[in-house]
Amino acid sequence: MTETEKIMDNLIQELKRGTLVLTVLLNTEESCYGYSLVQLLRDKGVEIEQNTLYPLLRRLEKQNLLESSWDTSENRPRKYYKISAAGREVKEYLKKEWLKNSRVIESMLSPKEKI
Amino acid sequence: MKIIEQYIYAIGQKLPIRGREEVKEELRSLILDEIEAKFGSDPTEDQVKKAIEDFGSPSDVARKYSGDALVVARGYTDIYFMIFWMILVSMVFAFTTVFILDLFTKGLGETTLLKEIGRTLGRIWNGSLSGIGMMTIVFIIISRFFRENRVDLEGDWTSEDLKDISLDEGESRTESIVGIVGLLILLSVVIFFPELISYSESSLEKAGIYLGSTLVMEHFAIYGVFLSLVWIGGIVYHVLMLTSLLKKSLIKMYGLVLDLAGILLVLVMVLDNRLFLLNPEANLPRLMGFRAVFLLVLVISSIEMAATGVKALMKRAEKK
Repeated sequence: MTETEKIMDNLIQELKRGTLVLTVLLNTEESCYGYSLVQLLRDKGVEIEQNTLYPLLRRLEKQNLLESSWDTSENRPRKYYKISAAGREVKEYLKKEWLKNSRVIESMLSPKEKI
Repeated sequence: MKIIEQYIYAIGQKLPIRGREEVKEELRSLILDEIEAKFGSDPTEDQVKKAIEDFGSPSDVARKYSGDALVVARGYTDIYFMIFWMILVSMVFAFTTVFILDLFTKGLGETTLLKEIGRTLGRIWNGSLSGIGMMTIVFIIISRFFRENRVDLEGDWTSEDLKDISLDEGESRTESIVGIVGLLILLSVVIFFPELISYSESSLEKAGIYLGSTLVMEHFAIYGVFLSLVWIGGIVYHVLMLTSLLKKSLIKMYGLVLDLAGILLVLVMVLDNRLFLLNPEANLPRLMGFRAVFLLVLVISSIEMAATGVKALMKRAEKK
């Protein structure tokens, strides 16, 4: 990997990291457990490492943006996460910011580059 | 499977104790989910190993769960290192000065000289270790109770936070007021209550601490006159700073001369053997007593003056 490629890789990772919280909040309206969320996000085109997502879920839970509960009815206990009321409020705020930034960046692109 | 438990155990060892069991429980469930999704309900040992390796090294996983746990919060790192170096430099300076003084006053032989060098290095090491250790404990406590967002001006600040910043880099009003009060107290002790100095020495003796040397008050009275002059000069300096009656550059120059006079005076006092009487009952080194206090004042003042000089030179170089 060349130096420029390394820098680009880092910048892309940074860009992705910035959108992670919103991505998770947008996809936890239905209860889901760690691995199912990884799969759900992958199906939607978001590639995320497990050991990045799982600690993030825990952090969001600590910040009261997600609620969790253990399901012990199956052969193996699983921790389920769901967006909380505070999480919904934050999600709406982040969504507005995202749309605003997206519009700003879009306005900077040439007509050919626009999606 | 044993290897999964070993993996979770290895991660657990690197996690904070608080919440460790819950994280381990969650990890177990997540890893088993992954293995089942990738290799079915009856994986081989190699498949399990592959899944674990894909999950990440125990250190990496633990780091992500622990977050950015710092012993000293980022907002305090600069000041921590500044004090760290100040302690180190002070210790080197202080003990080297003691060594040099002993060299001239004791007349050390060749064997004693080597022994004294070793002892000086040991004192520097022990003194630095104690100082830095104490400081680290204080910083850990501060970092623990005053989180970074309370330290960092960038995070949550208002323009009100700027009002105490002085652009001409002179002392703040508070510093000047504290300076005047402190100097008045010192002047009162030396002029009106010199017996307080002897009293402080004798009270230590009552507590069983016999200083290496005591002050000869008759001789100290002569120095008291010069000290009073320097301190009165200091009060005038602070009053000028508060009232800005003269140009700031002139006041600064005056302050510099005053500092230099003070340093020279204390240096003469430290080196004047007639000022100190060796205590025959001493259970502390001969330096311990007011001589050590004067030496400490000398070291701190010299460092402060050198730092001001370096700062001024750097500023001049930047302008060029």
